[in-house]
Amino acid sequence: MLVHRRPLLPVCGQGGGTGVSAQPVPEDDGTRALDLAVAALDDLIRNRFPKNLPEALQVHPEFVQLYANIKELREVVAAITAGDLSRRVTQKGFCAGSLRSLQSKLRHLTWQTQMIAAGDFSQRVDFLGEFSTAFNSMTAALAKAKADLEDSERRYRLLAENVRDMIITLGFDGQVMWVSPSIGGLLGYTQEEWVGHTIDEIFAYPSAQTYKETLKRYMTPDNTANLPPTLEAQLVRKDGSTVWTETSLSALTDGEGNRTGLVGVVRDISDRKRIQDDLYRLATTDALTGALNRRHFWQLSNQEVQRSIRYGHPLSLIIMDVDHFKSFNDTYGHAAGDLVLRTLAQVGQKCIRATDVLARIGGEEFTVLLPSVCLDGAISVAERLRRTFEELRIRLDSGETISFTVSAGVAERTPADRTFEDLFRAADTALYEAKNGGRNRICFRRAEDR
Amino acid sequence: MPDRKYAFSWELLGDIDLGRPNLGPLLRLELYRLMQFTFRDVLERHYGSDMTDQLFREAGWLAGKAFYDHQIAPVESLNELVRKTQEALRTLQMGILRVEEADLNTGKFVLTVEEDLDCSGLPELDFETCKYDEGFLSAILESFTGNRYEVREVECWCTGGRSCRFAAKVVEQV
Repeated sequence: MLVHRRPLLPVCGQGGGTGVSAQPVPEDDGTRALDLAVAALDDLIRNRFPKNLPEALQVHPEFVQLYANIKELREVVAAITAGDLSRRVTQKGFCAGSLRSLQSKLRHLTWQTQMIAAGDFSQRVDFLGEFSTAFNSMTAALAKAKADLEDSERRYRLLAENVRDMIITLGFDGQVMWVSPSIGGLLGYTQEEWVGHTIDEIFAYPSAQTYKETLKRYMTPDNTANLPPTLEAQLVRKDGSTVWTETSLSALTDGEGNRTGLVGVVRDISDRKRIQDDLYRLATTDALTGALNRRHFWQLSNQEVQRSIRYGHPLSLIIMDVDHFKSFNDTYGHAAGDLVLRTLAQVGQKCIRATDVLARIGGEEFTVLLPSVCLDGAISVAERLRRTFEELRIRLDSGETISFTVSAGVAERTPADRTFEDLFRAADTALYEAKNGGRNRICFRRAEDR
Repeated sequence: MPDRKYAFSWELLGDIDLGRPNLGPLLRLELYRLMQFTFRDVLERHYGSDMTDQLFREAGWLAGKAFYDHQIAPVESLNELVRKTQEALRTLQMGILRVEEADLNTGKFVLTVEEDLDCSGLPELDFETCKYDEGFLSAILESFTGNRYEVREVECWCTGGRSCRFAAKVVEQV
């Protein structure tokens, strides 16, 4: 040991290793010198703020070096405790080597943690006992969670990429972030042709204006709380053809639940639309002639009466009945009768405006509702129809040619007429007069006659 | 040198299973070190210390290159390089590799090897001895990055460390 190799503190007068004047220790006072050295080292090891090395001990270079080495180790230990791994250990030997090894392992742990942060969960620790076990359990759990997440994402992606519906995600800036490959089947575009573009660019055609505006209305985090159940729109395919679609919107959220955009599932509803249209047509039209049926005509007419009352516009009605229709059926057969009815509907439709409404309300009875038309105008229309039908010749499959005439009653809504039934009753009375007056004629009811 | 006797190839390691059916592939580490340190002794006497160090580095480089090709490659990322090298060194009981710093942008690496094949447990010699490792590690880094690396041991068991620390830097960007 140091004190055995040579006297701890030789008598050397004033001065010492640091250049500060030292207090000599008497040569015979070895015990006191040893006590001083022990106290200095104890102070260095125990206290947070050790005193300076006593001057009396600074005269011994090897002790000064030992003291400096322990002081350096102490500072490195303190630095490691404070998380500072950069403090250099300049000395050699077992303690210094062990400290450097600890620094090295902790630096490696830092690097491993950085790698984990970058997504590499294969990192394992093997030098820190129970901490290693806990750390390795954590990275194994993270790796499993990541694998589960990737597996889940893979399944959802597989689903999204193979579903027939088109799935589209939109940022709140209106940009398409992702669209499923099914866009090809639905609209004829590739994913690349849409991704990165805005809805202003992809829905630039006029018919998508409403659809686009509706989408835009929900493109804020707050508005996604009140998303509509579905949006129906006719979209244009890349080849110019159209397709009826139904879009279901949901809010797109990030990992923390913040709304970041919209996700839409766009479904081709062409078949449904076609069926809906067929059902609507069946429910509102007469199967034989294609004209509106009685029930639908009644609904529209009631609406027109209310509109006429509200805006003060005139509203007139013509009721037509094919003269001697029963004898047609008896003479030429029901097919010929049906042909007369179909012809009447087709030709009659051509004789009126698009805003007028032609309907078949009974066997051979037809009506024409004329919004914004006063009685004289309606009489002219009725007369035109009567004359047209009178001059019409219909060729039967048998080669025979037949003709028919109609009788018609005309009336205009008066201020006293509050319902369509009131107007209908007046026109029906006029029709009755036309029938009784010899048929193939027009009768009308002026307001003052009613 | 067209007519060399000792040009290295991986095949020179031979078919150990065939050749040592009873003794197997393992050898006491003392014998490996016996061979290495006697080589050093003889080489130093013939060529001096610096040249001996240089020859060991070059041999280590040759070994590292072949080792990368046969035991580590292919490698897609730095993480994979570290993981595969760690696994290979541990499985073959060459040492425990750890990374203190790794920056592909600056080309700077600080690596440590514990329980090193060459030096762990040696007496303190006051100088670093792992010249073979320097060449070995530089070949692995060069094989992965394509750049030429200089690896120097900055701490060794022989200088009082408990592990060997190597600082690597790019000396030629390819």
